Amino acid sequence: MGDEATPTFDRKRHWELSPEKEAMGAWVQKRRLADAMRTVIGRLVQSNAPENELRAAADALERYAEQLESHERLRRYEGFGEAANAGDVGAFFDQSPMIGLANPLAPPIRLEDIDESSAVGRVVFGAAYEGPPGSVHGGFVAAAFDEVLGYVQSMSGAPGFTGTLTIRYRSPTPLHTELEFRCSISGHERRKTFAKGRVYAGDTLCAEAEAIFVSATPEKFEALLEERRRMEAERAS
Amino acid sequence: MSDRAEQQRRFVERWEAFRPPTSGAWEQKRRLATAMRRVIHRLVRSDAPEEQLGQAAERLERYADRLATHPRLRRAGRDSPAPAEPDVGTFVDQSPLTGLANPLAPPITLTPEADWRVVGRVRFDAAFEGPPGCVHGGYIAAAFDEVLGFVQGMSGDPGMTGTLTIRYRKPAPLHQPLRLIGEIVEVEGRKIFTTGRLLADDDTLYAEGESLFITPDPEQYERLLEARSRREAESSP
Repeated sequence: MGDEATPTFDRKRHWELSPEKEAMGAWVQKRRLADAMRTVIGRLVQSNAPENELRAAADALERYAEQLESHERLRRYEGFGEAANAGDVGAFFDQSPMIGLANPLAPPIRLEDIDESSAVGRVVFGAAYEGPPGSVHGGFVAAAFDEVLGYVQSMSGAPGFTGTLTIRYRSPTPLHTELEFRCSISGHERRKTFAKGRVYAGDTLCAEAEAIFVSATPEKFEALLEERRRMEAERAS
Repeated sequence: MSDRAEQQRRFVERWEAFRPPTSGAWEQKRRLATAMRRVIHRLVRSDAPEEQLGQAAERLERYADRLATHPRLRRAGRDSPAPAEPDVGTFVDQSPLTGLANPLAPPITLTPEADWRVVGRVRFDAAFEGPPGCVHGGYIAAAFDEVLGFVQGMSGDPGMTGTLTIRYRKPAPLHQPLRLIGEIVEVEGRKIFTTGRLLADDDTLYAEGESLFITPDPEQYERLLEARSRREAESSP
C-alpha cells in the first residue's frame, strides 16, 4: 500500500476503517466463518451433491441460524466511533457487502494503492457470481465499481452518496481471475464529485465506469441513522 | 397474436422450462441456500460469542471440503437441454440475484407481464446495507442489471449488457418490499434499449436505470461456453 510518508488525515482515516487491519477476538472467528461460507457458496453452485447430504447441511444451518438469532444485535453504526478506538474493526468496513471480510456476500474486494484521489480494488470473483458463461455477472461489475469509486470519493473529504453510475461493458469479465478496478477522482463542482474507473483482467479492459457523487450534509446522515434506530427498535419489538 | 407477443410467449416458455424440479436435490439446495441466507443476515448483526463462531466456522470448513468431493454439475447451454435434464436448474436457480439456490441472491422474484415488461420483487436483508438502514448502491445497480437483462430477453434475441446507467433518487430502505419494473423501450437491429424504475409499495421512486443490450453473434457466445468448459476441465470445484 503506497509509500510510508507522513500519514495524512485521509490515510489515517483509511487505516482506522481498513478491513486489512487485524481483527481481534470474535471478529477473527466472524471473518473465518464468512470465509468458510464463501467457500461453501462457491462450491455449492458448482456441485452435484446428493440430496441426503444437502438435507443434512440445510438442517444443521437452520439450527445455527436460530442460535444466531438468540444473540443480541450489534448496534453497528452507533458503535462505529468507539469501535475504531477500541481496536474492534468490525463496525463498518468489515460488514460491507463488497469489501467486508466478515460479510459472506462480499467477494471480497481489497482496496490498495490508495492515495488522495485514487485507489485500486483487487478482487477475484468465484463461481457464485457468474452471469454469462465463465464471466462475472454484469451487475456485480457495476456493484464493484460503485464500491471502489465510492471509497475514492469518500477519501476526498466530502463524502456523499452515489447520484449517477454509468458502466460501459467492453469485453466479458472473467471469473476466477484477479481483476483490477482502477478508480480516481476526475473533478469537483459544488456539491458534486466526479469519479471514473476501469476494470482490467491482466491487460484486457473489461469495463469502464463514470460516477457522480453528491456530498451529503451531516444532517442527512444523522436523519438516516435516526430512521435506522427507529426501524431496529420496531423490528426488535 | 403480434410478433412481439409471440416472441415474448416463447421466451417465457423457455425460461419456465429451465426451472429446476421442485423436489429432490434441487429442493434441498434451495433449502440450504435459504438457511445460509438466514445465517448471513443474522451474522452481520449478531454479537455471537467467539467460541460459538469458531465452532460454526469449523463445521462449515469441513462441509466445504466435503462439497469439493462431489462431481461438478453439467451446466445448461443456451438452447439445450431438455427440461427433463437433471441439471437444468443451473440456468435460473443459480443466478447471484434471482437464484433460489444461490445464497448470494436476495433473491429477486421475476414476474413477466404483457408487452415486454417484467416486475422484480425483492426485499434486501441486513447484509446488503450500504448507507445506514439502506440498500448498498452497488446491489441496486446489480438488481437493475438482472431485471433489465431479463426483460431484454423478451425481444427474442437476448444480448449482453453494453451500457448500464443508474440514477439514484433516494436511499432505498432495507427490509421493505421493493419493486423493480423493467421494460423494453426499443429494438434496433442488434441493440435492445431498456429502462427500469425501483419503487416502494406506495410508488416512491428510489432509482431509475437504463441499459443497452447488444445481441452477440452466436459464435461469441459459443466461445464463452467453450472457454468455460476448458477451464472447468482443468480444475476441480
